[in-house]
Amino acid sequence: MFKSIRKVKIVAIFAVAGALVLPTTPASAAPVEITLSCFNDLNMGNLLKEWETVNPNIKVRLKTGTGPDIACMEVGYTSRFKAYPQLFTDLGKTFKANTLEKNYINWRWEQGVARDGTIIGIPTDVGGLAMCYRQDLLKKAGLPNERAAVSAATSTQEKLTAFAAKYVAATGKPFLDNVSQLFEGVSRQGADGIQFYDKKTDKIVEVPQVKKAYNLAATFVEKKLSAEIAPWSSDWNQGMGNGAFAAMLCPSWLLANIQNNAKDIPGAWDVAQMPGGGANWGGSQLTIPKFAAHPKEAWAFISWVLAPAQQLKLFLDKGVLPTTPAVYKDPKFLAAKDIAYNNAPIGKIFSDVVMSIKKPIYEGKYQVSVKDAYNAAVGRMASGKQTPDASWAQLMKEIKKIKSLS
Amino acid sequence: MNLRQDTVAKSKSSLRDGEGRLAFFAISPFYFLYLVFGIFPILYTSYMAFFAWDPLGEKTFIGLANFANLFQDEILWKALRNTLSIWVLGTIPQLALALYLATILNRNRLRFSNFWRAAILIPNVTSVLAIAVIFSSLYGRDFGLINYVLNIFGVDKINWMEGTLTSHIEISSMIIWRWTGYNALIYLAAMQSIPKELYESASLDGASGWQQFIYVTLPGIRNVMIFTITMSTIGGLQTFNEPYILGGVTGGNDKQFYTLAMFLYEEAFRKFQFGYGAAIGIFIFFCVIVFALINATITSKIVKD
Repeated sequence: MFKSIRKVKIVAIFAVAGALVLPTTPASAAPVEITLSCFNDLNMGNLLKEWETVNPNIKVRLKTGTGPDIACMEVGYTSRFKAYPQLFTDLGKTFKANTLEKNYINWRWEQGVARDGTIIGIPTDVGGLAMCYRQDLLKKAGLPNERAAVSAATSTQEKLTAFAAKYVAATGKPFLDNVSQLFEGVSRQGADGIQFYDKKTDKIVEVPQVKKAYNLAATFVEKKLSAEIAPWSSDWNQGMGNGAFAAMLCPSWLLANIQNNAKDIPGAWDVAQMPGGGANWGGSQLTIPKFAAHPKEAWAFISWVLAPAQQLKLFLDKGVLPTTPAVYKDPKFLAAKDIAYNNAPIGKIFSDVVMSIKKPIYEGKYQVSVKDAYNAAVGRMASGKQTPDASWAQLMKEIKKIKSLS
Repeated sequence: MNLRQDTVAKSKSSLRDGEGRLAFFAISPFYFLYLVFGIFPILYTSYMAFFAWDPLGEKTFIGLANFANLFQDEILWKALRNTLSIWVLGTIPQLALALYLATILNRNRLRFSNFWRAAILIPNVTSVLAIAVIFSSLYGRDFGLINYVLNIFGVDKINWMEGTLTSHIEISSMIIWRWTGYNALIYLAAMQSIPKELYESASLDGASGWQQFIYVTLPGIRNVMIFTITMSTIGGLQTFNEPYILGGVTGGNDKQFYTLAMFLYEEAFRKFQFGYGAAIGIFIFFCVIVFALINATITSKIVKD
């Protein structure tokens, strides 16, 4: 008993002394542990180490489950939570986050702002869309394999189909990994910024671009241009290294994944423009839930880790595409060439895509369910279980059901 | 007579002593936990089922609307069919195999019998995820061992999780793998409590091994069989882990392996329709009661005392 009181006293004395010696430290002197919950580590491993040397008083621990100080939110889910701004710390009112708005891509920032203007999240990364291809395999097949040439040869859906058919004819092997990724990518290219949801009305709608994407997928299936290896399966991962397919759509966040799986063939992959034009796909926000135990410390971390300087480091370290356009002009960013991608200037390629996006896709409340339904429809058609028309008809019934949800 | 009166008197007096209360006190932790984690969730779920219940937002009383919608929902019947199909494919071979293994383990002359008895439980205590990794590579379309072996016999590549029956076979084979040993041990325990004299007199009467099994063993473990069948009905109607891990949360492109529990999960935790999810939960609850009663009745009819 006596001992513990003494310990407390000693700690208190040191704490007071610490506060006197370091009066500029914003956080309290006693070390605080804040928790960050996310579906992965956001590739932040090295940044977390750096944070702890700069701010020894605030430890950041990654954990899943309930009650985090910082919750990350994939954009597909943000509309769901943006409907309840009262559950989040208003980063604008509480921490004057609105002063940071100018640093971020306009539309990416808005994805973290609720309809009533509450700023609930700060954007972590942005997914620009391109097409990754095996330049070595294309060369063997007697096809053009240089970035500009491939981009030109696949610039439209028709050209892409013809190009893929040539590859299949020459090699007898499938060109693309699967049509579900193709569908998702192409369905995001609508000029009006509509995939499944209309931003104005916040309602689920059907637009021609999505049907076009579906038809393209059906064509790929019919002509057997795709390997039909399910995304995120072990065969998919292996396929990136063993030539099971020669091309795949690559949102910028997939680059690290391809790189990991193709370690044995450095320089075999390269990056071309997305056929039919760029689009956004993915990204997350960091939010502070209302119940967070340490909102101040959480904000200190968020505003540090998502500042342009740190985003640049994260890009150079892991290829995560920054949401702060100032970084796109940084010489280091522009000079970054990825050996894994045949020395492609991936920073330049993907930032060009992102900056060209005028009307990003709006993702609504039941985005995930709608997406599941469309994916299943593509899957039924791709496996030959149903004809494209029958599968589409079943899909429309399912969509009607989702529309009936409040 | 005297003895019996004594006992009654004694038990009454012991209650007066407060021993009875002590006994209730001693077992109360279980009932307390049961109240918190058993009764309360059931009551609360029943309450939720009458609301349009958004976990983040508003709760509106809508009476029986959730149930009305549920019974009109085609997906419910599809999920019920899938669940029953997986349950039948998974449970009948499982219990038959468990019975067979138990008779082997019950033989007096079996060597290393303790080792086998322990080993048989290993699949049950192994992590579901680890088993799922093995099973999904066994059933892999392109490089799976099962397709490889089938190919030797001239069978084309099967995309197991894509088909309805094939996905049910894959899922139920994993259920069989996990639960056979567990049921075998329960049967074994029951078999060992059958008096040896019964077998001795049966063989004196000239009963064959098979006849002994039918007329001595089966009636002897009848109650335990009803127990295992009831438990696997409860487990089977709540099948979730195996299809979820092997095939994904959506239950297949055509919902071909979408089970009732997956339906509940999707509605409640992916679409955030808590009220609707609760209604599905109540539906599963009544399904379990109905099917457990049917199974128990059939079993006790077939295996007579």
